[in-house]
Amino acid sequence: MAMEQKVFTAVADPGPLAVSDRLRRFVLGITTVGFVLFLLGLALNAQRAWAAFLVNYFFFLSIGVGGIFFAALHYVSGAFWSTPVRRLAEGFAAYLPIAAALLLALLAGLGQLYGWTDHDRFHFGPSKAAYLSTPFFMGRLLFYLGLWMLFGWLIIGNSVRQDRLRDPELTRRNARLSAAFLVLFGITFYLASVDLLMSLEPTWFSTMFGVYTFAGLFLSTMATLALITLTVRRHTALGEIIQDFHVRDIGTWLMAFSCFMMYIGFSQFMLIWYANLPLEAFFMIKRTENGWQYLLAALPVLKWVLPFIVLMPDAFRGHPKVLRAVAVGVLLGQWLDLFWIVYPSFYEHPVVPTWIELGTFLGFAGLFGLALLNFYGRFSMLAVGDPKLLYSLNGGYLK
Amino acid sequence: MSTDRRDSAIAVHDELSAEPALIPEHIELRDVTRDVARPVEARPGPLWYLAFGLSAAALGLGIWVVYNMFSRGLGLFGYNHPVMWGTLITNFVFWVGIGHAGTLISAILFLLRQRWRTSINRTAEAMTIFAVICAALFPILHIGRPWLAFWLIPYPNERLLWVNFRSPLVWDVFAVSTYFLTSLMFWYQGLIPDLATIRDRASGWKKKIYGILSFGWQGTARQWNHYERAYAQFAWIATPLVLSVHSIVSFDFAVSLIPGWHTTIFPPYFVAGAIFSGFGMVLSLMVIMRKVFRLEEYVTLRHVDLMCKVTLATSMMVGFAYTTEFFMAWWSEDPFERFIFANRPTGEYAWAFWTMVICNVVIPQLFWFRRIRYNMLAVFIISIFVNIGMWFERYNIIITSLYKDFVPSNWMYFTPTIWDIALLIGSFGLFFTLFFLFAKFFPTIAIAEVKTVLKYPYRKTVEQVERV
Repeated sequence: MAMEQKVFTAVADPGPLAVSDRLRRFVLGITTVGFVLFLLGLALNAQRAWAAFLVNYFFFLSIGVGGIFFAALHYVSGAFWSTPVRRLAEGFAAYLPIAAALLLALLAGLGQLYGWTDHDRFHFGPSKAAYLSTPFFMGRLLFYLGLWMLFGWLIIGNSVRQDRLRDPELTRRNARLSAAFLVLFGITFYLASVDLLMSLEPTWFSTMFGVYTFAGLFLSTMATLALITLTVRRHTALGEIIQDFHVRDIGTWLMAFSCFMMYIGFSQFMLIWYANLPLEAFFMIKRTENGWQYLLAALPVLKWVLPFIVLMPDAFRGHPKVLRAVAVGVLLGQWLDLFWIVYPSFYEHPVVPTWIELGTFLGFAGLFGLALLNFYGRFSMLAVGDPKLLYSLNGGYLK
Repeated sequence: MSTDRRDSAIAVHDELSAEPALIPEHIELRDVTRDVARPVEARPGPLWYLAFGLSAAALGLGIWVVYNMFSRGLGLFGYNHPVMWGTLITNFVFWVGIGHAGTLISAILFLLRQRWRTSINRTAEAMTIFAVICAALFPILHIGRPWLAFWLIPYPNERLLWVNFRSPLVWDVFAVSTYFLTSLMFWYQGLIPDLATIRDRASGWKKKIYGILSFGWQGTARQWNHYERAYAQFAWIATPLVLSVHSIVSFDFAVSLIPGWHTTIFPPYFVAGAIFSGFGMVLSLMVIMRKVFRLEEYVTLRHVDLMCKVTLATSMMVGFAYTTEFFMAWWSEDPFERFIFANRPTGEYAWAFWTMVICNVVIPQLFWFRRIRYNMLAVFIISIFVNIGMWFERYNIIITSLYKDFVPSNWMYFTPTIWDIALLIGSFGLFFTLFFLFAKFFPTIAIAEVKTVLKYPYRKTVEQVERV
């Protein structure tokens, strides 16, 4: 197949995103509306508002760390394809300081969310009781966030410094940092998932759980990256720089990890269902009864069937409209997945997400958007100093 | 910036800015054919005969053990209540695991556009097939009446028997046989152009045999077009199999109610372990083979370096999975879960547990150091430790979960008998017999694929074009 392909010999720095005041005001408006609705919810039904808070907190936290994870993975593996979109993913990490602040807000909702805060409800042994105590809980979560921010600051700091210095050594330094980050990330994200989500049902256990949340993290990060790449390609100078085959590669990863998600989700559910041990099964029974099973049925459709079938043809994987629709579907699936994990802890019968959930989502999305705009508005949208950039733009790895 | 620093920065930039050459630049197309065909065409040396003889003797030992088992029964193998799954199942899982690197290299690395796979995929895939053959034997032996093994295949029959589809042991039959057939076809498809190359260089009856084996391959554009498309399709089909086979093997354990077996992380944990052990075996074989067959310019130190990195990554995944089991046992506060995980590192089988941890998690950490990854002796030794460690991982999972049942009256210390060990040696005999036959009669490196990653022909073409 003969393709017209642009040959790059040099790339002009597209510079930071020109963020219009209107856009910033709009995002700020969304944030305000969202948090007003959340506060209103808090006044009317505190537990539900905090549940909504937790779903959205974890949803955006995953994408925020996912940005560093994406960059680290590509530094470690020495990948070429991702170089033009790496900066866009790095921007996700700008949300992490906000996540740290919101964690402190979550402190106010701990009693509403986590049954273990009530010492009369669960009688754990001394070590687990000590582990599930509010100070230790908050302390270690802040520590994990601090660790991620530290590595984000180091890795992304080197990355943006390279724009100016053009020093290829920074790529190597980042590869080493990224290897260390990936090891620590694996452990800390697993433990954070146990704390934030699994301890909603503090007697339940599943060794797969952290892998399950990680699959969701990767999938939602790729979907967000797809959406952002498509948007900036349409509206900024990156449209001339990021090529169709880069977008197609994002689609391919989205499709591949949708299979991983399904694999992990199925394995966890099937093994618990098959063994049917009361200690484990109660978690799934709660979530497959009284109508919750319909929500469960929607998850594999949104997170696997949709991306897998629709993105299978090459032409669709890189097609802006199709990819955008699939990415939105996947993100909806991820959100509903978290909803399915969190809400049945409090509601025997399904509740339909209303203005409380929507408002909280808008609030979080707004904060995430503000962090993103701030990052994109400060640093170049493209890793212009990366030694791999030209090779990637010319599709050298495809030949 | 000083001149030195600028020079080194330029050097680093050049190294990072494009994919590095995989094969030394002086290698030309004809060199590839000549060097890879050499071991196939030359008479095997005394070393090959020695190695082949030893393997065949070990295989003979295995056949003798199997003969004894048929005539005297499974009691030879030290089975006793409650340890009714002993080393036969350990060997099964061990060999299936070994068989994972080949498909990972040929399918997943293909989709990830990792071109370094071209030098190692042929041998790794062959290893996969032989390992799966070894693996498939063990459940058949283990059922005690191997002549009834065909009952596992569901077809309408006059016995009015039907397999129990709810049993993961039946899923295994499908998973392993699908994997075997797909790997075999994938491998053989890749072999066809190379067998044709051997055919074209051979004469007499050898030409006839390689002619039949290569299905009349002519290397026309049309044939290559079909070939490339089929290869990509196969890669997509084979990719889920890399995950599914060992996941289903893990289900054999994980669907049960036995603490130490029933845990949800088993599927990805087994897959990571399989890739880890597979790469361990590929490293052991490749480090030797590149030397003996003088293929150092095709399987370069860089190839070994990359394989070591995959091994290191999977080693950490495996170590992570071990840790999650302990963490969740503690978190669950379930006395049985807690007991088994306290017992593993401190009980009677602590030696097996610590062998596993040291070989699989501690020793591979040496691969963090570049100097180790580029030292072939060190790589070889570490890869042997990986093989040992992964055998003990399965031993550990199977035996230490079974030997202390829920009731203390149902406790027993299992010791492998001399027959267990002889059968394990026999399976290595089968594996290496097949492997040495492969190394003698088939091109051990994918000639046609390696040619596509040479720098030279392209550069020459460009120069010629420019001159015109």
